Amino acid sequence: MSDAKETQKDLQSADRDGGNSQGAGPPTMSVAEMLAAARGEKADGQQSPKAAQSGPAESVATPALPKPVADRAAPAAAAGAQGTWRINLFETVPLLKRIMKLRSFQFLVVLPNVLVFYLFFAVALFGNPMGNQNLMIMIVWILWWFVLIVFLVPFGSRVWCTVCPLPFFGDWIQRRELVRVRPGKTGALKNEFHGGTRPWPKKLRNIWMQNIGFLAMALFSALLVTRPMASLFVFALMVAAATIFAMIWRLRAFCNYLCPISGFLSLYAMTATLELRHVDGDVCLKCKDKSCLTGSENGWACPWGVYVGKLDRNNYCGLCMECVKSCPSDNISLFLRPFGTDIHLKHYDEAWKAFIMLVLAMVYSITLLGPYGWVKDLANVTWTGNVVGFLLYSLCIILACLVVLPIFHLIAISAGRALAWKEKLSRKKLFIGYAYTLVPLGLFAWIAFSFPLLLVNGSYILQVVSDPFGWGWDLFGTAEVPWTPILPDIVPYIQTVIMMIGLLYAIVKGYEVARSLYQERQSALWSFAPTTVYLCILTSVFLVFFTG
Amino acid sequence: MPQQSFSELTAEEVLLLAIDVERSNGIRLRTFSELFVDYAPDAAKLFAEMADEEDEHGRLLEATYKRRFGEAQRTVTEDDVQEVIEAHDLDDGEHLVFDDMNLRRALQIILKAEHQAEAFYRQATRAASDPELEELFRQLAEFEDGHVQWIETRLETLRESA
Repeated sequence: MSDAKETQKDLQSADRDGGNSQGAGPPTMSVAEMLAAARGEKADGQQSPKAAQSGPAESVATPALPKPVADRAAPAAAAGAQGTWRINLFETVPLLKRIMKLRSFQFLVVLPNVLVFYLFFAVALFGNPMGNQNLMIMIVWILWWFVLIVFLVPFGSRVWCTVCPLPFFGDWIQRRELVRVRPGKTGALKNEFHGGTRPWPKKLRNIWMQNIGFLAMALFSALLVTRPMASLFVFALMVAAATIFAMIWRLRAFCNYLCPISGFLSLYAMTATLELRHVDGDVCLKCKDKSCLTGSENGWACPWGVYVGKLDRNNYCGLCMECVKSCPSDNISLFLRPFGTDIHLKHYDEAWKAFIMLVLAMVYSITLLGPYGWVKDLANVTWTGNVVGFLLYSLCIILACLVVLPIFHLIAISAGRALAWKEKLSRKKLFIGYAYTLVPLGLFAWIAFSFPLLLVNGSYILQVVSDPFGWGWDLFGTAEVPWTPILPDIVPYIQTVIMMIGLLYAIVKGYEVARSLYQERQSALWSFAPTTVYLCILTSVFLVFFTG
Repeated sequence: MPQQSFSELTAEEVLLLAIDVERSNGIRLRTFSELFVDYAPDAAKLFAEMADEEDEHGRLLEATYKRRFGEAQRTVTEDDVQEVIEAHDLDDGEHLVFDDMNLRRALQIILKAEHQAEAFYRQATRAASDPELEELFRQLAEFEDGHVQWIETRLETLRESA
């Protein structure tokens, strides 16, 4: 710290007036002199070069009363405020705040979910092995999936993570508490943690593993939705991984870096009309302990490792509400906001997540809903035994996700970059920036996929709810309801409308991204034009599959 | 205590506030150091060094206060004033999710707060009507300027070595 000591000497020597303070009170020494005296050194009256340069020219131009000079832009950005409205839900509905502040809140919402989840395990083990006659398959892959995509993500961000049963045991191992909080000290965190305390490996601090995990699950989607035991295996594996990760690594390493569902939610939560943010940025600046991140006697350290004081997007906030409890200033709230407020992807892995998700929405539509029997045969390797066909099918999907779509994207952004030649931006910036357009488009593609899934298979849900194990029960009198597809004729029209809304959002939000990247409106327009064309082509491809 | 505007403070209160600002920044920077010690050791080391530096400056200001006003009978904290004078803060909510903290970024984070503090005191100097306050603000600005210079030098060295 020798440099710093030198700087201190500079500070002492920066006293230009030699102690000519004329203010009231007894002292006649200047502050710098007194500082020097306190250090047992003598101020020499020299100015530091920088101090000599400073003065009026370097001062802030407005000679008014001091205003807070702290970063005002950051809170605005953190508030998701690009000139948009927000409604503070804790202010509007105080009861909501009281509920979220309850220590038992998360336990009370997770517990029923945990019980239902393990009931599904029993159903998978002992129930009907046919997918469309099995409660687990019907509830998880049809009803839950539909509710998740159509309602929870667009309106509730990552609210599913609030109630997710997967990390239940992992959290318990780390906290040794189900409800209470343990104050203490674990590294920088102000809680007593057990279980894993190692940091997640540096090279894996990204979402590539989530990307690969979701892709791998998608390759076996036909198997997962038809064989309860396959789904059971995957879920058991996820519970085991979440638990083992919690025993080795600190906080929610599984959720942050491996869970494929978390990856899906992290991407599309950007569009959500709900956000958790700080209320006043200055309060966060002045906060000494950063309790939202490090925890306090009232709340656990953020399991996701997120600092709400500078949080500017939904991606990695699991809405566990611990920060709401731990914040000593009551400065964190839930806000309602317009759809698609977070518009910035930051890394390549996030861009590829957008590619993978969009392609998979198409793959699912073709494989699970499309009229192409031969594709279903290729995907259903356990039924057909056609391993080579399945490998080819898998290879095509992997290439489409990881190579083909990114190449089309690269072509579009390169063309845009050339058209906006007056303002040169890096390809990386444009590539990642415009990949955001695939977020609203992808979400609406998934919604378009999910609607017929429920409308066509909804009657099966009534059957299995009444007879969950397929043992001939009829709990609600609906076990014998015949298979009744709802509105099959108008499904393509519904899907067309949904896709058009997705395209509209993709274009509008993409243009917002362009305007945030380019200084000139003209450059933004030119740059974004080829991406608009490519978005239209992608939407057309979806429409061909949906309506064809 | 209801929040006051900085411009309403007396010289004594300004000094008490400056002491609290230094102490608070020491706590913040030490927290950052602990947070990043496993992820970015060089950034963590810098945060720790700066925390020591802020603590040291807090002690110097305390000594100054004692000479000038005697034993402190009260405190004026950051929370007592409306403005933010100097508050070191992370620049991204996702630093710990992704491994994107490094020495350069840590230096930039510190530099930003020091710049803000310096600008604040300089602006206050220009707005002050009381000569004693004006002198105090000027000297506090130069106090912060020392940090700015030190950080800028380290950033420059880092740039050159890169």
